[in-house]
Amino acid sequence: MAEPSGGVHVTDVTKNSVGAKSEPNELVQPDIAGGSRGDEIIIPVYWNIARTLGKRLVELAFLLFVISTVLFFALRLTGDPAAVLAGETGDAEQLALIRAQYGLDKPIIIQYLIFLGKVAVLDFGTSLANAQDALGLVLERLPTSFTLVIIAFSANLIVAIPLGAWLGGRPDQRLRKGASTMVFIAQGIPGYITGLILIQIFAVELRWLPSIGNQGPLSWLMPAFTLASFQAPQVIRVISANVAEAMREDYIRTARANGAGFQTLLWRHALKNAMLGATALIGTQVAFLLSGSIITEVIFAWPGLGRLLVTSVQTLDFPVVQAAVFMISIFVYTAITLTDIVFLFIDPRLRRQRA
Amino acid sequence: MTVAHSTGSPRRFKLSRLSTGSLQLNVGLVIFTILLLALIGQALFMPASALDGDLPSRLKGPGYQGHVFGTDQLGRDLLFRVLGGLPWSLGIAGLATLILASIGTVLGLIAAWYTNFIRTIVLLFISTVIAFPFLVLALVAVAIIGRGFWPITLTLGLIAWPVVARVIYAEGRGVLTREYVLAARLFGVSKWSILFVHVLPGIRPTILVMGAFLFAVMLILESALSFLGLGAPLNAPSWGNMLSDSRQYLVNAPWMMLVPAGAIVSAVISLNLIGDGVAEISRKRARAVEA
Amino acid sequence: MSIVEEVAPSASPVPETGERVLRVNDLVVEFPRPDRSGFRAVNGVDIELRRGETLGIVGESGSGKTMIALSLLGIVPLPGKIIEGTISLRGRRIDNLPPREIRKVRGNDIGIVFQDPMTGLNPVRTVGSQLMESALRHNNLSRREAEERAFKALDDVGIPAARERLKAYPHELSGGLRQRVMIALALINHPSVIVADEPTTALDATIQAQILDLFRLRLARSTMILITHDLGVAAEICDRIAVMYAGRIVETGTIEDVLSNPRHPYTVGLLAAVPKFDVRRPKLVPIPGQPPTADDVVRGCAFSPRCSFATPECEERPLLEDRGGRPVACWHPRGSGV
Repeated sequence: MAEPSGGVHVTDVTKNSVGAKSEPNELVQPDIAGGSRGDEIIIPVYWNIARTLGKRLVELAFLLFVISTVLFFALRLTGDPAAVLAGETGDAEQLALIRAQYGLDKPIIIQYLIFLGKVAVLDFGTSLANAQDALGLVLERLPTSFTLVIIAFSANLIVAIPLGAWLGGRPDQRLRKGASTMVFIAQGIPGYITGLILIQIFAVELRWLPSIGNQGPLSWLMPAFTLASFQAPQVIRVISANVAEAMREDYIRTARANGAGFQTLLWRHALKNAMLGATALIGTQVAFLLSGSIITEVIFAWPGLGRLLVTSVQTLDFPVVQAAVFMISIFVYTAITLTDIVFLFIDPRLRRQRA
Repeated sequence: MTVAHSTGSPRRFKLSRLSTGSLQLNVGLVIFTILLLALIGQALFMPASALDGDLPSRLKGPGYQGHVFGTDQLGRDLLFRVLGGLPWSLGIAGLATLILASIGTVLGLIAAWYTNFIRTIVLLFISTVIAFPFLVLALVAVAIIGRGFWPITLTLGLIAWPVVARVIYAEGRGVLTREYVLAARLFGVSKWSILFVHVLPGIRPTILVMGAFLFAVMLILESALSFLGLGAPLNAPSWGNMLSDSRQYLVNAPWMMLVPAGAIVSAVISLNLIGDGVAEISRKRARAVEA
Repeated sequence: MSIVEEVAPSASPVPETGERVLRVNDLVVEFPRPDRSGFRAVNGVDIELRRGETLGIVGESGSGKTMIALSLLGIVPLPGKIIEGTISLRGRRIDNLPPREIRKVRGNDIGIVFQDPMTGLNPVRTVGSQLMESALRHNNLSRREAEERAFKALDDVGIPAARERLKAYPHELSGGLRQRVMIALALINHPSVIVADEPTTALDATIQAQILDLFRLRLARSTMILITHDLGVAAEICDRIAVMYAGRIVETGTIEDVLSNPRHPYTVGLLAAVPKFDVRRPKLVPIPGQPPTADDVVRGCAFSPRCSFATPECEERPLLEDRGGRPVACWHPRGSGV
C-alpha cells in the first residue's frame, strides 16, 4: 500500500491508499499449452485513445450543462436579473427595455432554451462592467494565466519528481528523514501564506523582486514559486511513497539478484512504476494549479484569468463569470485528456491488452 | 486507538494510556485538542468587546500593552481576533467535512452496491466534479448564494464530497466481494444493513484518514475564500480576512500576517499529522493481519 | 552455443567426484528482535555443491530455505544479516565482498529463479530490456549482441517465437511463459551455480509439470540448488537432498537414501504427509503441532516438541553427524543404518 499522504491533494493521494491500481494482470489467460501463443487480440492504442476522448468529452459536456443550468436558475431565483443588469441606477423604463432586450419577458423555459442555445455557441453576452464581449475578455487573459501555470507545472515535474524519488529510495536514512519532515511541514503551508512570506522577504525586506504585476521574467519568479508550492509537496510525497513501495517489490529483488546497483534500481526500475502509480495525481494537477493560480494572481496582482474571475464574482458580472468558468473547464479537461493520452503511450499495461 | 503490537511492558503513567503509539498522531491530536479547547473557551468566556478596535494603539507590535500578538490597523488585539477566527476556520471546515463525508460515504456505498444506471450516474458525477478546481466551484457558489457562515459551510460541504465518494466506492466494492459479505447476502440480510453494518466498519479507517485531510483542505479553502474577500463578512475575524488585511501593512506590521499564518499552518499541520498517523496505524494493522 | 545442455530424460548420472563449486560453512543469518536476542533464520548450515549436481533443500515455509538462497547473493532483506559463517564460490570467498564486487557475482556467477513470476518481472519494461540489462551489465557486449543473447536465452528455455517475445511486456505473457523468462534471466550469463527458489509453487498444476520438465530435461547437468517444500519436486530433479527444520539441516543424503530410508523423525513425518497412490497406506498422517516461529526460544532439538520419540536427552541439541552411514541430527534416528 502506498502511503496516503495528505494536504490539498487528497483526491489522488487517498486513491493510492486504496490500492486502486489497474488490473491488467487479471486479463491474462492461463497458458494451457505452455508455449503456445493462444488466441490473443491486441487492442490498438487508437481505440483506447478514442475511448478516453469520448469519456472526457461526455464529462465536459455534462459539467458545462450543469454549471450553465445552475447559473441560469440561480440568477433568476435569487433576484430579478433585469435589476442586476440595469445596475443601481435603473428606473422602470430601463428595466422594461432590458427585459425586452434580453428576452426576460418570455416564459422562463423559453428563456432557458434560448440561453442554452447561445451558450452552446459560446455566446455569453457582454460584460456588465464595461460592455465588452465576455468571452473576448476571458480569452485576452488566458495566455497570462497560461504562462504561470505552465512554468509552475514544469517546475514541479523537473524538481518534485526527482526529489520524491530520492526521498523514497532510502526513506530510513537520517538526511532523507529530515528532508521528508520539511516537505511535510511545507505541505501544511497554504500557497497564499507562501506568497505573502515571499513578498515580505524578497520585495519588502530585500527589495530584490517586484511584488506586483507582469513585468517580465524577474516578476515571474515569486508567482511561479508560489503557484508551484501549492502542489510540489504533494507531488514529492506521493512520488516518494510510491517509490518506497516500488522498492519493496519482487521485481526490484529480481533486478538486485542480477547485479543491479542502487541507482539502477531506483531510477531505471522503481521510478517509472512509481510515476505510473501517480497518473491521476499528475493529470489533475492542472486543476489544482488553476485553483492556486486564482489566489496567486490576486496576491501578485497578476493580470490573468483567475483575477478576472474573482473581480467578476465580486461585482456579480455573470456573463464574465460564466465565460471564465467555461474556459477553465475546457482548459482543465484538455489538460487531463492530454495527460491521459500521454500515459496511454507510456504505460504498457494500458497500451496493449489482451481481449 | 491502541497499538497494533503491544510490547507488554506495564504502563507507568496514566497519561500514556491515551497515547496512540504513533508519534505523529499524538502530536497532531495534542495541537488539535488545544485548538478545540480554545474554540470552546472563546465561545464561553470571550466578551464581544475583546474584538473592538482602539485606534490610538493601532499597528503595535507583539507585547505592546498586554497585546500578546500585537494589534492590527484598527488597533484590534490580534490574539483575540485569532481566537475569534476559530469558529470561521475550525467551525466551518469541521461542519463542511461532516457534510461532505456523510454525503460521500452514502453515495459511494450506493455506487458500490448498484450495478445499474444509478452507479453510472453517480460515477459520472464524481469524475466530473473531481476534475474541476474546487476554488472555482466555490467562487461560483458564492456568487450565487452569497457570503456568511452557513452559505460557506454548505458550499464547501457540497462541492468536495465526490473525493470521498470515489474512494469509498473503490473500497466498498472491494469489501463487497469478501466472503462475510457474500454470506450475509445469502442469509438474506437487507442491502442497507449489509452496507452500514458489514461494509462501513471495514472502511472506517479510510473515512477517518480522508476526513482529517479534507478537514485541512476545507480550512485552507475557507481561508482562501475570505482572503479573496469572498468568504466571511469583511469585519469578521476570519483568518483569511486577517491575512487579506495584512497585505497593506507588510512593511510596517509583519506580525499582522504572521499571526493568522501561524494559526492556519498549525491547524493544517495538526490535521495532516492526524491523518498520516491514523493511516500508518491502519496500515500496520493490515500488515499484522496479513503476516 | 547453447546455455544448457540437452540431455535425454533417462540419462541422469550422478557425478560422485565433481569439482567442488560452492561451499557454505556454518552460515548464520540473524534478524534482530525487539527485546530478546536475535532470531536466527539460518542457524549454522553447511552446504557443499559439486559441479553438475543438483542439491535439494527441503523444508516447511519459515524453515530458512529462502534465506540461504538470498545469503548466497548477499541480498538478505534488512534488518537481517549474515553474522557467522563463510560462503565460497570456486574457492573464492563471496560473503565478505565489497558491494561493487558482490554485484558482479549476482546474475553472473550465481543466477537465481524466484518463486513468483507474476511479480518478479518489472511490469513496465519489456522482457527483452530486462534480459539485455543483465547481459550488458556483466559482459562487454554491443546492444545487438546483447539482444542476440537475450533471444538465445528465451529460445533455450522453450519460449516459442522468442524474437517477438523480446518486445513483450510481462503482463502480455502467461504465468508459465513468465517463469520461463525468469529462468532465462537467471541463465543468460551462464552462471556457475543456479539457485531455484520454489520455481513451480506459484504455478498451476499443468504449468508446474512443464516447468519441472524444463528443469529435468534441460538443466539436469547444471550445478543447481533447488529450494522447495515439495518432496515430489525434489525427487524428480535432485541428486542430493538436505532437509531443513527451524534454520538447521536435520538430515542429508542422496535422494534415494533419504526417500527410501528416512532417518530423522521429521523427514519420516514429511514423507508420511505426502499423498501417495499406495493402498497400504490410505491415510495421510500430518505432523502434530507447529514449527517454532520467530518469537519462540528454542532449546535443544527444535523438533522435539512435535516428536513422538522425544526423550529427556533431546533437551540437548543433537549435531548433524554421521549416524550409521548418513548425517542425521537426531539422538534417536529411525530406520536402519546403512
